[in-house]
Amino acid sequence: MSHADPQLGAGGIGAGSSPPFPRVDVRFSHPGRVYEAGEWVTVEYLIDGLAAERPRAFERSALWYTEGKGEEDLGIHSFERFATSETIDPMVPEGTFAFQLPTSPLSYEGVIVKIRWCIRLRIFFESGRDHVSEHVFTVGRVPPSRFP
Amino acid sequence: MRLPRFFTKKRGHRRTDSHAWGSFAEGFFYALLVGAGVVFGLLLVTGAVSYAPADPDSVVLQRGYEWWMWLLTLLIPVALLAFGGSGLVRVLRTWGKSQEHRAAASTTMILRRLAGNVPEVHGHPGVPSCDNLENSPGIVLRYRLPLESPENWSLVGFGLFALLWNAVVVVLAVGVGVDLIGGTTDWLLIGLLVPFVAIGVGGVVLFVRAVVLSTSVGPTHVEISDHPLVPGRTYDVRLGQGGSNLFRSIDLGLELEETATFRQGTDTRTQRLVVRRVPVSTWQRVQPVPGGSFEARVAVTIPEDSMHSFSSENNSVQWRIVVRALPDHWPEFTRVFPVVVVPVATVMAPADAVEALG
Amino acid sequence: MHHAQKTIRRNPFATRYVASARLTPRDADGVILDLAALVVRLGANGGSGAIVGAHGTGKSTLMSHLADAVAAGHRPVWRTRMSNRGDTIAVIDSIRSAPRDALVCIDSWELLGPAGRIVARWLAGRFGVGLLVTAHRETGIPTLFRCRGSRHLLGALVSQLPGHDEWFGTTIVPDDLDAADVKAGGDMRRAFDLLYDRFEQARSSEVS
Repeated sequence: MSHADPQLGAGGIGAGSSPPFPRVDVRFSHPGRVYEAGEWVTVEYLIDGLAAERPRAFERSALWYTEGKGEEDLGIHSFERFATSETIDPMVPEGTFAFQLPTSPLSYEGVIVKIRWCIRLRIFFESGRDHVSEHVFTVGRVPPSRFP
Repeated sequence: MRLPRFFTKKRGHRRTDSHAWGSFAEGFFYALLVGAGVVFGLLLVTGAVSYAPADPDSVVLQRGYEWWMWLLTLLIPVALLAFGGSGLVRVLRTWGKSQEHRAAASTTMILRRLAGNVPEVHGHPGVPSCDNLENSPGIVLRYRLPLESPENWSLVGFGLFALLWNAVVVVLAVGVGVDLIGGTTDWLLIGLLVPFVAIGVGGVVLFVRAVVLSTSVGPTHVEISDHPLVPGRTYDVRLGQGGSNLFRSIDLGLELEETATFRQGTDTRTQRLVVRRVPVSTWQRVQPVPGGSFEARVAVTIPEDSMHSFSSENNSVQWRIVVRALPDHWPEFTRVFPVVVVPVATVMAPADAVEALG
Repeated sequence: MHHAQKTIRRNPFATRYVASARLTPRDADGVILDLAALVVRLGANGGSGAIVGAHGTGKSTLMSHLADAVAAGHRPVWRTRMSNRGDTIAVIDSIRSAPRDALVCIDSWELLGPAGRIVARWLAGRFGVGLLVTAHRETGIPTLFRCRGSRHLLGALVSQLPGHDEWFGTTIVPDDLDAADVKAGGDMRRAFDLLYDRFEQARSSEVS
């Protein structure tokens, strides 16, 4: 599995020696990617580099996860899976989707516990490998906590 | 000294009185079982083994004991030790922990996955349920908050240690006494007894000191005018602090604590960190009314930019009202009252508010 | 730069980035291990092997990657992780259920207890299943690799973490690694824990 997060740089997380993965560009309805709880989030994506290998399934989801010293927890807020060519073709290589944020949890930059919201786009290929692209956005305006 | 109330109206799912008394009683019961197992086992073993007076260096098992009789005889003390020991371990492990932490710690990895999510406030995913915080009405204000107190760890710990250790001391002392009466002096046993007695006396002293501290400073009660709390709003909080002695100072404040649970090799560890402290009020040289308590009423404002309470399987962000008191001639103690802060009310945008990307 | 990116402060020592599956297994000199060679050695040992080492020296990391390498060679791999003694039955059940010639990976072998270990080895032999285990000391199963923590290893692992070039030398400096290594005593997981705090402290100082 390869994982690309544009906010971390080209290498992504745990890139290792896997074959080149597709490039995913994402645009949020708010350029600053900051939303309030209850707002609608619209996301437009463009996946480049699918010519060499056909996707057999595609998933797009919105979720929150924890990051920090603890084991990672996550909560899926919205999830869609497309597993037939009829349903995949309209979704790749580009598409748009929208979802309404819940009242909580808000994004939180704590010290040993952080809460992040993101959308994930996961492509499953015929060869069996898959590629996931994660794009973080912010919910709420809670100021970060500092190390005491 | 305030004794636990034995006949009260049960409120919700939580204990109606001190968590310390309840767990102490439970731990005391298991400690008794362990002590009984130790005493019984030692008596059986020492009674079954003797030496031939003509040849003191040889040890002779009493005749007539088959191997299965040994097994049967030792079954009772082993059962007492196992049952009592496991119960004690459970009491010690769950002492001071919240309901959710106990449920998470008691299941295996496999069962934990099946256990489902942490209970939440309806309409606020990730915000922990406050049912257990709102099921006790206050005397003056709307709710009386339950206590989550860290310093009672030492009280139970000292008590159990003193009990167990002195049970062993008694068994050893009985053995020495019987030998002396019989005209023999087992110097090895006497030598072992001396440090055991010293540690046993020390354990009793520490336990008595902890009990006196706990009872002389009295209970702490906190009531609040409303719950759950919302950032930016102000609430009435009533503090009641019992005790007969002077307090050099009493501090009331709000704290935000992050908790993260992680695996470190074969261990599961939890780290806690207070990341925000909001002082509310301080009182100096407080003398509770004899037979009564010190009472004060203050306004507590939840900071407008506060993070709401959050709880998931391995991580949490929790608000608490914290009372720190420094009694005269005694060490400082801390008493913690968890609260839940929900996010500011959100107006859910209608479906036609979906923005198109230009 | 997006506002969201400004407020997002990734700590590279967070669990997310230092979990076993994320890091590349290395030896005490920080050199990446030859997994293919270890797979061959596993076969030469009769299909079973033990990864031995102290707390936080990379046993779980190596097991995770080795299991992937074995699975890539089309040998069935079953993975189990013991958190406490209560998982013993589940582990025994995995061995019984695994197909012949499968490799059953058991993280934290000692938690099985003496009786559990005897049963597990007997069942593995009976059903023709290989065992790959992690342990703190010799197990009786042929030792495949001995893990050891060191300053070199810590440096190599840290160099793998996300955004290394952005924060190393500024927020975290080599002296921080030296201090963490000394305090952790060869436990890489503990060292990461200390460096996490150091990163947060340093960043708080930078902001103020």
